Amino acid sequence: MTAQESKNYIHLRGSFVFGMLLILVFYRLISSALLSQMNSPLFLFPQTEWVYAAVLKSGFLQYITAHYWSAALFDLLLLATPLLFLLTRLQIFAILFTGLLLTYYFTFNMVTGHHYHGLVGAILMTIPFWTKNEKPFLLLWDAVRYYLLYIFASAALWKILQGSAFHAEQLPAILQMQQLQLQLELPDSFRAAITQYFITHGTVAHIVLLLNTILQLSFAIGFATKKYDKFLLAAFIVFVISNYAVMGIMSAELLVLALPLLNWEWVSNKLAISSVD
Amino acid sequence: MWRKLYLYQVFIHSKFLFAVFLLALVGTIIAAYRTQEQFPILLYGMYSLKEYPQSSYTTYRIEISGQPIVLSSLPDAQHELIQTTLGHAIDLKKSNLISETEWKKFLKWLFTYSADMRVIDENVMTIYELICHYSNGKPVIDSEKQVYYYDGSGE
Repeated sequence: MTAQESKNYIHLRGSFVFGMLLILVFYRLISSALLSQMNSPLFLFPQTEWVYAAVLKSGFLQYITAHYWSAALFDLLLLATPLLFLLTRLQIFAILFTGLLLTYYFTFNMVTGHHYHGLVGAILMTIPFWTKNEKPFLLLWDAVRYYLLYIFASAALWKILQGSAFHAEQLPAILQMQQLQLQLELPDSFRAAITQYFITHGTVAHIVLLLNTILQLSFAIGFATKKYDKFLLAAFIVFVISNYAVMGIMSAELLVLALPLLNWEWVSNKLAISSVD
Repeated sequence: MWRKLYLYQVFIHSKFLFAVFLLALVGTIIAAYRTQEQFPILLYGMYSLKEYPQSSYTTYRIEISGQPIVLSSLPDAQHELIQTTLGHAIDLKKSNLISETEWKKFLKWLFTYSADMRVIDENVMTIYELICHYSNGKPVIDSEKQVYYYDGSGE
């Protein structure tokens, strides 16, 4: 691979990553979930994790969210920085966006009192773009790929070690608790019908849970070789679709982590052919 | 062989990056052993704790100016901002871990946020507690009672 080709691949990855991240932030905007839209939220919940406790104690998030204009400026920057990165390819915008997204992540998790992990993938994906040099970029890009493998492989291991993968009542019990609101509010919806099916068909639900555990465990192969990355990518997409259909969880924010599984030489060639056509 | 290892390549390229990754690895092992995460060391169980069907389930319904909020039809982030925050705030209230002033401020915030972009007749919000059980895969409401009321006065 020539230096120019390598540079092009990095450029192409940047377009995909920051394009997807821009869409994710825009989706938060239309979901009325950006800081200025939270209407000066309260930080009621005690934080047991040290970093969260320190950020809370600093009063920084409370200050930004308490004032409409600072919150609006924050949101504007959150939307503008990925766009500016796409337009200029300056690392400063990647670094700034990481900081802004991290700040948003802390705010959302502290306001809701629940430490969601969904945005972690988006935050991590920005880090390789802190550098323009090929070697550190590729090392960081691979690090993100390993993190994705860790997420799935460890999720399978937890299920096996805790015994929940072999617990026949697991999926129906989760659905009864997690989908109660959906069942009460939209009982005739497609998703409610899926939930009802799995609650009443315990054996099928258990098979689905076991398949999910095997799917997650299959990501462990990625630690040894990149040969099967296209299959892992397909597995990831299957997971995202089934996670939404069965559990009602939108994993779109996690989906950005799938990009390191793509064969970028292939993507580049495909796009080059399309542009020639 | 080991020269091809990812961590070896990181070590050759940057001792600092290697140290960061090593710390992350050790931190993850400790966090997994203690089953307790500390940001930025995160654990991904994805519903790995054993769950059992329960005899009853509790949920809440919010009505703004008499109109129920259909939380299930909201985008995920908005849904979480309302439902998760409400659930945790009620836990604090039931455990007397929140002052009356803070609780009133919370109700005011919940009303303002939930009422945003809705056409409402009056500034009232009612929260109902629903106790349910499952029968043939469907929830059956055993009891429904008004537990909190906000009339726009809040702190």
